[in-house]
Amino acid sequence: MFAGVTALMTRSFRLDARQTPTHLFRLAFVVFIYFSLLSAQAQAMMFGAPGLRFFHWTCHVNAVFLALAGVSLFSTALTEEKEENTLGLLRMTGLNPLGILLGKSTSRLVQVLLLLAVQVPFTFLSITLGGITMDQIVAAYAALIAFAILVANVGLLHSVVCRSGGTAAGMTFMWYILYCFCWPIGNGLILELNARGVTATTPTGSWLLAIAGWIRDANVHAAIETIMVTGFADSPISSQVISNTVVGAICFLLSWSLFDIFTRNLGPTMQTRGFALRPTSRIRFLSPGRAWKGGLVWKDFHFIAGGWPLQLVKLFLYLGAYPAIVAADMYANYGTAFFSESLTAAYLVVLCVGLVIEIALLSSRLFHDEVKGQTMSSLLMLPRSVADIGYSKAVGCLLSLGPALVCLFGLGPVLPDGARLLAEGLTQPGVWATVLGLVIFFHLTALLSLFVKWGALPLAFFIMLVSTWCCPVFAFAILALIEAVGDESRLIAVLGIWLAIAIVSFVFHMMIGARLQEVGTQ
Amino acid sequence: MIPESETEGRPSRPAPIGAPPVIDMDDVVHTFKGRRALDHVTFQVHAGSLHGFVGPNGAGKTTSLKLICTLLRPQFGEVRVFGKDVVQEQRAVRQKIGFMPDHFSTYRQMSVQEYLDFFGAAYGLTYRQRTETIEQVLSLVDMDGRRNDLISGLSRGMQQRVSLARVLVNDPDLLLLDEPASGLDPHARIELMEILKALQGMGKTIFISSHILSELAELCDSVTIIDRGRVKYSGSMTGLLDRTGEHPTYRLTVGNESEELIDHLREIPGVMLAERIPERPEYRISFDWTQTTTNDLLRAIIERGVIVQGFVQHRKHLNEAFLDLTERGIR
Repeated sequence: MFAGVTALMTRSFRLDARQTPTHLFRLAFVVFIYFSLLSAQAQAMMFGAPGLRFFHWTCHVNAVFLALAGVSLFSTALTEEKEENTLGLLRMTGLNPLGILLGKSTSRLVQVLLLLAVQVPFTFLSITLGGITMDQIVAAYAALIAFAILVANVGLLHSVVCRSGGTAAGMTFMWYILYCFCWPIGNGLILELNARGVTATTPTGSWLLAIAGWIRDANVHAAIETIMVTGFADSPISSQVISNTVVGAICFLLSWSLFDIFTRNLGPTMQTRGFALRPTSRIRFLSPGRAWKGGLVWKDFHFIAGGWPLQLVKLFLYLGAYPAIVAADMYANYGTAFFSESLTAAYLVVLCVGLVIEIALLSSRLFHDEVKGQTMSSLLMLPRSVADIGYSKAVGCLLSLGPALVCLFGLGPVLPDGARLLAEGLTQPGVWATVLGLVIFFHLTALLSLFVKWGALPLAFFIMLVSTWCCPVFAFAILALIEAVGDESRLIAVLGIWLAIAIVSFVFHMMIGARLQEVGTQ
Repeated sequence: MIPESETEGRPSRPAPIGAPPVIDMDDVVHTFKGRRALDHVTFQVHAGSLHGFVGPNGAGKTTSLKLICTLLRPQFGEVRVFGKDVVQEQRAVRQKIGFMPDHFSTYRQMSVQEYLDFFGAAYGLTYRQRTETIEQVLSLVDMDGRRNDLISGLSRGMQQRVSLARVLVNDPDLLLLDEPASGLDPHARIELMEILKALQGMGKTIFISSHILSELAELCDSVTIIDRGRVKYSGSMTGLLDRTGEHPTYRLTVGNESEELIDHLREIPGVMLAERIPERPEYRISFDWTQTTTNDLLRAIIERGVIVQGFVQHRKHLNEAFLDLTERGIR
């Protein structure tokens, strides 16, 4: 078995060493650390403990990076073999499930740990910059390594259970979102237990509180916050390190035990239609029906954006969000703020967040589905320009924003103070600056989806996060512009940002168009 | 041996018959990352023909196809389809052609009907035109009963038929098919070939790139052989199969075999090669057509007391012709 595992790992390392993007990515990481150091040094004039600030952010970025690796790298460890129909060939070489799991996953974990190792010498410089101790650095890396083990094995479990890389990546992403809520969930549990009079004096109470405490402390971001407190001198083997490692090991054992069940009878992948109903469905009027004139808008509306059934579901959800907010407020405040401005503001924020999530998800699928299905060449063969094809597809997806937009601009102004809140928001340069950032994010996601197999959305998020932090010049420039113009010149600032949005969009559209052409001819 | 004019990328071009050729590649050069994929490629395809495009892996077949179907722009030379330049009149060219790539390129989550309806709409067909066209193409590829099936649930052969139906939706005059039979079982292959014959009968010009030489030999009436980016032969299929080099070759079947017969045959003026085909009463004879004619040769054989039971021109199989023309055969 070990010969097989070694062969798989050696192949993986060799492939990794030969690929230029891997080295470029590592170089980018070192450059990021270097700029972070420079930034920390510059900030030392304004703030104290620059070493602490530098290391603090580096740890959080590392944690986000590890989560990204979980979504894109670890969750495809086995699904890529399933999709390529090569898992059977691997089994025929005599490798047992444990060997395949170790060979496919461990090598990736080692690569990620190497990426952490490459930055260690630089992070020691933070001690020189001041504000951080060696104990804190050791504890932080212990927390990150434990998180890496957890992420690798959660991703591996999903890649064993799921049939396609996309599903596995999605499941891992959902898991990460849930993991991010460990701290509030654990804290809420402790408060609830305390409120119900459960104390550590009884064995059951002690167990319940201990479990709630473990859940609260399991999050790596919370652990980093604890480690960065001045005067930290705890053991590096914290409860987060133990819980993450143990859960990681459990996930690995689960992957091992479930391997045969989920890989025994792998037939050809049967594509699902998502929310699009079959033409033979009883509620046929909600099915895609016959294609609209032009075709592309119809296709993307029904087969990427979910079509009529999903629009109905979203409309009910968005319409139901307002009564839900009112009900929650009545429950919390005994109805004192019923139909107040703050409730309308909360509802508008929910709608805006919903819109952002919808557009982000659509951006990641808009072109990626064509690349994945190798259908771009057929589209490019249509007697239409690349721009026409791209914009038609975008319109098809944007149509699905109807429910959110109807609620935002149809229902919103009718609600108490809704019209005023909307008008104020739409004339705020700060709001439009945020829109500019989001426009960059959505376009970046769409562009990256034409390059990477999976995980364009988290990758775009990671790039935005790192670039915003590493290169705050852009944000500062926008803020300076907003500060520079008074209330009377807000319109000029808004127009300036609109111009920036137009320029950014134009540049991205050119890049996406060129890449679409390239993909179609491959 | 093939005449120099054909081995050096300057194949003989059949004389145009009135209308411009459907495909006219003229001195096309295309380079990828410093590697010359097409090296002064010149060939023509005429209307109504079923033209085979043969070459080893990496010979430049797919690059040529992508140039013809406007997905790539030629870096040097001209590509014309129905007399229209693929760069200058891209849209007009696209209206008249249908390209089926070597992968299925289907939306697997759609039903067969939805897929064809979508492409019909994308090509600008009206609702009624689409309804009629879908009926016709589904009937042609024998998929009428599967119109509501999801494409992902169809077999490989059926997906290939759906892909072919999609190519036919806009009623193109020229079909460009890249390895259409790869990965299909023998039954599906035979069905595909029958559909292609039917399409040729409907007056469509079909340009088919394939590795399956035996099927091309049966199906195609003209062929282009390409190797390392250079055209080795372009012309009629019979012309290629009849061709045995500089010297015509005949197969002689005799009724009275003797030990001396081979020497008698070699003595005939103009005979370049005479060899016995093992374990058969047959001989292969090549002669120099500048020194003698077929009539004179046959007369000389009979005069030497040979009982001639058969005397036919030796035709190569496409495999042989292909291996003779390409340097490495199929890789």
